[in-house]
Amino acid sequence: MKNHDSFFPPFYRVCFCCFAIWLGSMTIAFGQGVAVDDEPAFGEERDIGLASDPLEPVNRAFFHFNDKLYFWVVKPASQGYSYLIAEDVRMCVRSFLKNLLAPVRIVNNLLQGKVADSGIETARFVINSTLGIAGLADPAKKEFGLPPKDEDLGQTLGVYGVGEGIYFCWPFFGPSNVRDTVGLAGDFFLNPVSYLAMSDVGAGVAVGAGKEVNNTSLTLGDYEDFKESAIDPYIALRDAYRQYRQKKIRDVAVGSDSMYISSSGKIEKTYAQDMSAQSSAELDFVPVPADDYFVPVPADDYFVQVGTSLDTEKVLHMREALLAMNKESVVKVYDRGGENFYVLEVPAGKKFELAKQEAKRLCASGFSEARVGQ
Amino acid sequence: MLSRHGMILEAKMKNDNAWFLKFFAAIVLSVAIPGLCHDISYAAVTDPVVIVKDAVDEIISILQDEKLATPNRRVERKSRVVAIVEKKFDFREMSMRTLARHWQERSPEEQDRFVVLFKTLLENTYIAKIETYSGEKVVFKKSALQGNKAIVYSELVRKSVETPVNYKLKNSDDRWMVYDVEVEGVSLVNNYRTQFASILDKENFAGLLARLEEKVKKGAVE
Repeated sequence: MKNHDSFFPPFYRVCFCCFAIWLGSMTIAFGQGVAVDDEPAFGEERDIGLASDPLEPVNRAFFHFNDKLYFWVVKPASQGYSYLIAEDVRMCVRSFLKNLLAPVRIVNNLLQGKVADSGIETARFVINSTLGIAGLADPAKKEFGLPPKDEDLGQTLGVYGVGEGIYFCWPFFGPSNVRDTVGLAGDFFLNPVSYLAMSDVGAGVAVGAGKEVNNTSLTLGDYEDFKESAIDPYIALRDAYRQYRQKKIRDVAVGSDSMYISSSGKIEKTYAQDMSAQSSAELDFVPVPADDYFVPVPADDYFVQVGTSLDTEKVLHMREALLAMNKESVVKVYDRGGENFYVLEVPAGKKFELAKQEAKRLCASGFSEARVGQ
Repeated sequence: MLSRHGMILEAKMKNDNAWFLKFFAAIVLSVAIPGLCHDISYAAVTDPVVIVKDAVDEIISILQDEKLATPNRRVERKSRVVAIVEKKFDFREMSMRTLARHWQERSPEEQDRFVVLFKTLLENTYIAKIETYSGEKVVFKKSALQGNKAIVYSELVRKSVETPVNYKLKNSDDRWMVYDVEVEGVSLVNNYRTQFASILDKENFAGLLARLEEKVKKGAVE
């Protein structure tokens, strides 16, 4: 029906689609003027409000359908399957199917401007497809310390400021919204299984169903627990989906490689500065002229970085000492190759001059490493 | 500070006599001793990671205790776990946060009733899960502190899946208590808050309490 040459025109179409979507989302982003992101107070959840759900009756019906589908079809199938197939094999299948989706992650990391992460995903794909035997294993994470950087088009659109739109609960596919549904449709072109489905619909559906059964067999009981804990499972799932997606978009606290503060680019910069500051502080005891420490940075919020350390105790002591001086401080924790790297900061307002004075005061009261940061 | 004095001391030792050495030793000690005392008093400050880790370790050791796994000691096992959880989880704070603005509008009796029901609901659904414990591990990754709040980042490691679990703690009266748990980025408190808010949109507070009671009763039977 379809010859092999027809693979390439779709490939160009994919590129064109991505470019068009990127262009479109940029237009939307700039047109709207991206809303100022106000960080919620530490330890508090961002208020994401209530979901816009005008289709609630229909969604509830589909939620009910999916629920029954799970208990009557997917769960028994998964149980039978897990009885027949060893857990290790099922984990390999999951890993293989995840590896196939690498193009989605590589492209979306790029679309979000996360060039380094896109490189990591590419490296993961190359390593896992070769050393990991077509993606059956994940040596990239286990041996090379390269964790997956999970991004999709729904997240990309979110990053560019596209709102979620109304909530959907699709039959078979489950919770989603307008933005993520558009994203899913876009990512379809980057998914190799889609091309299989285009040439043979039956095979595509079989792969999809097989993936569902395989992955469910590894997390049997999770859905039951979730339903058990909820007063209104429909609302609970809707809210959980929204919270999960919001955090995915903001890259906060989902997954093991995440950091406390979101925007990754900014962190890496501060992190690099910290490292040089720390080593110079360790090497020589000659006090650096205070002014050399203060590099003006164009920013709206300044803080005084009081100290950096790999030692939890040391940071806690410094924090206590600051508290004794009536100064609130923030401990930021970065993951440096499995080790925790702590940075202690005192918020210093929006004026660089004031932040500089604060840093000088802290320097004078014994925190010799104190300097202004952004 | 200390090592800087140490270096000065070393430099002096090369040039000067013992008299000078003693003089500097005295200075070093006078600086060092209050410094050390300082260290000791600060060591008493407990890292919130330790709070959560201790509780989790304790619970896991109870779950791993085969003597307690026999059916006739199941009740004892559960009550021991509940006792640990009650010491570390602030159910009142959690209730306040899940009801949000509705909390203020309730009478103290209604508030107390709600706390008891919500606590029982969480115990029934989460602590009952200990029966299905099968060697899961908890890895503590890092923590962040600000003011009287802390977030402890951990990961629940099962053979096939790793789930990020973040504990949020608040320090009041020198005690760190958990007020929210975030699983895979989904805050437990916020999830319940949304559910309660949508129920309170349609029903009154008594209706919510009735639904909670019904849920708790169902959980107790199982």
